[in-house]
Amino acid sequence: MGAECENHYKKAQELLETVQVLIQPKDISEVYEEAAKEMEAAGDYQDAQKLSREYASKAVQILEEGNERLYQSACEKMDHAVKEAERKLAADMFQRISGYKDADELAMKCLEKNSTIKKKNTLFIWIASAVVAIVVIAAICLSNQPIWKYREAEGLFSEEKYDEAKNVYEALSGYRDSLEKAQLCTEMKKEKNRRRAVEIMRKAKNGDEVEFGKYRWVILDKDENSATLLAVQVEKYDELKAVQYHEKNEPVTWEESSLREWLNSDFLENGFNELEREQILLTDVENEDNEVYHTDGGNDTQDYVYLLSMSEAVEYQEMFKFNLNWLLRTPGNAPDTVVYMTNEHGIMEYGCPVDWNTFFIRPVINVDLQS
Amino acid sequence: MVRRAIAGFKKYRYLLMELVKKGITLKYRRSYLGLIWTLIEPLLTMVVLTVVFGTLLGNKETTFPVYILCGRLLYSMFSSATTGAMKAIRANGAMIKKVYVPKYLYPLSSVLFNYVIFLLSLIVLFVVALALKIRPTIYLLQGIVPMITILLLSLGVGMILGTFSVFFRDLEYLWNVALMLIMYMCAIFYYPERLLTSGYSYVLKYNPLYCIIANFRSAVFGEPMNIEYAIYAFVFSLVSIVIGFGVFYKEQDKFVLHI
Amino acid sequence: MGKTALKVDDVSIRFNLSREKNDSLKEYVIKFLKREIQYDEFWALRNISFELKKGERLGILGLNGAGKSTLLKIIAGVYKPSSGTVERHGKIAPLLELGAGFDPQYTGSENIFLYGSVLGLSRQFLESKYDEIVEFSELQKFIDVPLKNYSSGMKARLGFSIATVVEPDILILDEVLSVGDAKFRKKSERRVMEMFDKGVTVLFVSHSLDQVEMLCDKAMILDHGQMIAYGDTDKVARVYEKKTL
Repeated sequence: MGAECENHYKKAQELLETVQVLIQPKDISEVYEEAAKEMEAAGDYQDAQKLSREYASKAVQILEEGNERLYQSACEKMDHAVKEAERKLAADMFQRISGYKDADELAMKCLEKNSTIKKKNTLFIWIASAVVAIVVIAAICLSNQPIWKYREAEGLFSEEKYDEAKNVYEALSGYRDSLEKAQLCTEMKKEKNRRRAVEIMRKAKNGDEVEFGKYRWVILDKDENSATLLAVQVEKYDELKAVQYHEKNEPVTWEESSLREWLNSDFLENGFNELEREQILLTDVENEDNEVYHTDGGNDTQDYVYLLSMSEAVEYQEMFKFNLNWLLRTPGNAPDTVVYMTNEHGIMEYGCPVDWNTFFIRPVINVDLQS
Repeated sequence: MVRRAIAGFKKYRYLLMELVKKGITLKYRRSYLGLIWTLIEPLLTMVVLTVVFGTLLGNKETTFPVYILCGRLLYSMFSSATTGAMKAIRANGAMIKKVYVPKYLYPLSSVLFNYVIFLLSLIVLFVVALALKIRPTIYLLQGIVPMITILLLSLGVGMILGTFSVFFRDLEYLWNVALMLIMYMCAIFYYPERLLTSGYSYVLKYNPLYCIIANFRSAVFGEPMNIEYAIYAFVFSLVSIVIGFGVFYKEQDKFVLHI
Repeated sequence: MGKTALKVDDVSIRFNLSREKNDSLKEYVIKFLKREIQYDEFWALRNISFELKKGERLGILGLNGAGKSTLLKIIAGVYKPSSGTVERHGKIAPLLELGAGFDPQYTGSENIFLYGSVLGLSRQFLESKYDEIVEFSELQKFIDVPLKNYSSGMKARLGFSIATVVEPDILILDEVLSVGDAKFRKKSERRVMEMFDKGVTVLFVSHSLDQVEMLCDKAMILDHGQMIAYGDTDKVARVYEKKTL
């Protein structure tokens, strides 16, 4: 009997040794309970009964202390929680001591706080997206405002892209002064083209081809002040084809010819804009007699546009090709004839009647290179 | 935090070198010609593109092959670097689940090894350019700028893709299509003049890859580079790096749960 | 008292077991709109706290699913805890998952440098230890063969040889000592013992109480993610015995 009691006593002591390493209050409390039972079974051995009661109450005490400690840690965790996971952990800790004090309510509080924060975040995201969407739509609407197009046109204008600027201005149909600006573009473009053409002529040499006004020309002669141009590719233009030197078949000199009048009026008006016309020099034209037949060439004239004379044709013959048949301004064998050029035989000094309309004309102009 | 990042980088710099080495070594290990392919592949592509877009479609410039090669090499690098970075986390999933290694090393090593291969392929460009009588000028030195910018751009975009493709695999397919679109918007095998003067110039001008390629071509052909393009591409790349690394750092702890 | 080698402070980690992995963008958007993103959550570890001083050897016991490997992965840095911190002082060598980082296309020799750099070793250091590694692994003939042609035992031997060449401050072990034939096992045990003698701090994970009692001076029991016991090995052993009855 005594040995058995001693065994129980010893067993209880053994159990208690493991308490040192146990962590969970539930486990420790269980061990104390078991130890209490063993002590009880140890009967009167030493202070078994006293210890039994001690251990039994300790078992309860540990459990309560454990719950309290967990409660405190959970509260601390809840108070210091920053992340969603920490609040969830706090809720879990409260749930582990469910029923103890207000643990359950606090657990609910943690979870609720999480869901409120989540809702706030979702709301925030919706608002942010809405704001972004509004900003984007507003930007798109605003960018269609004419003011931006106007600025764009101004930019193009300053870059001398007059065609593009004019298109944009015209598309603005009357916004501010866009119509006037559009017209200004046309003017500026003419000026730009004129300047460019003069630049090209300045850099070019005799025999080069340039464009000026409506037509294409070859440079017969140039110096730093002016250039003498002869029209080329005249077959492309109806008005230079099948032209009469003079309307009527009568004796006539260059001065009186109807061709001279036409060249210096209609031809000038239609082939060049005002700026270009300002560039064309009024030239002193010497009208010589026909070398071979000694027909009178008439008075010297001052012309903007004229034809080559026989001697000029000889002088410049290297600059142009002999293709086509075209009129010169020197009279032929008789006062009612005029000299012409052919591609096979060159200068035909005998001439043809002044009212024949079988030839081309190749106008000549002098362009001012100084402005 | 920055000190920790630098310390981490110093500790694992050998791993970075090993990963880059591995990428290059294994790329052509099984093939017969091996690393020589890095030279041959761009050459063959250049021939094909020259024939198709040059002779057949009428671009008869003698320097057209070099023009193509410049764009093609840069685009190729961008394409394989970003795709590699995008797949890097998933490809190294087994390692990530077992041992700690700073995860940004995976996409970074992918971009770097593709960059090294790009540098090697520049040899081809050099040879072809000399053969077509393009002389190097002082402007060649300007080529450093696009070469650095392409690295930054690939890295930034690669990090962004790498982060999101861990969570959404579809991104891999979407990016494939996007790359194709980008290729057409880079003027690699056509001259950009017509597109630049039409109303659609923004398609080219706002594509940072086009800006990089255009400046690189200028350097090779001996023209001054376009400063606007250079600044735009550089700023774009820096922003993409900031966004890329930022987003990567924020999400990297979740990667291991998705691979 | 020695210096702290490892401090685990109130570490908890929670996992989402989503019913299906949200892999595609389409699924994610649909679920988001239908508010169906539910996560079954579970706490794999809760409130784990302990401190290891330099030179101490801790055995981690626990039934399957207790969270042992999760705890190790957190200590190794593979997972980030949902709450709490881990403080590490010194170099960690995980002697588990040997060969993480091996590339099957690379040869054994190339993998030595690759895996070595994963462990944070420099090329110089590896070159100086190269012969020692190859000799210990007994793989001289196969060292230039691609790894995909190795048997699992060979891979483990190579991994072990490389990992033990690291001179770590903290060693994490699991039943890795049972790889290879009897001769190799003896060698590896001896090598680990050498490390112990050098005063390395050890974390040893095991099911075998005998091994823990033999090797460790402290022990811990994990159960369903919580620490059940922590303290001197013999006392903890008794608790463990009772639990597993």
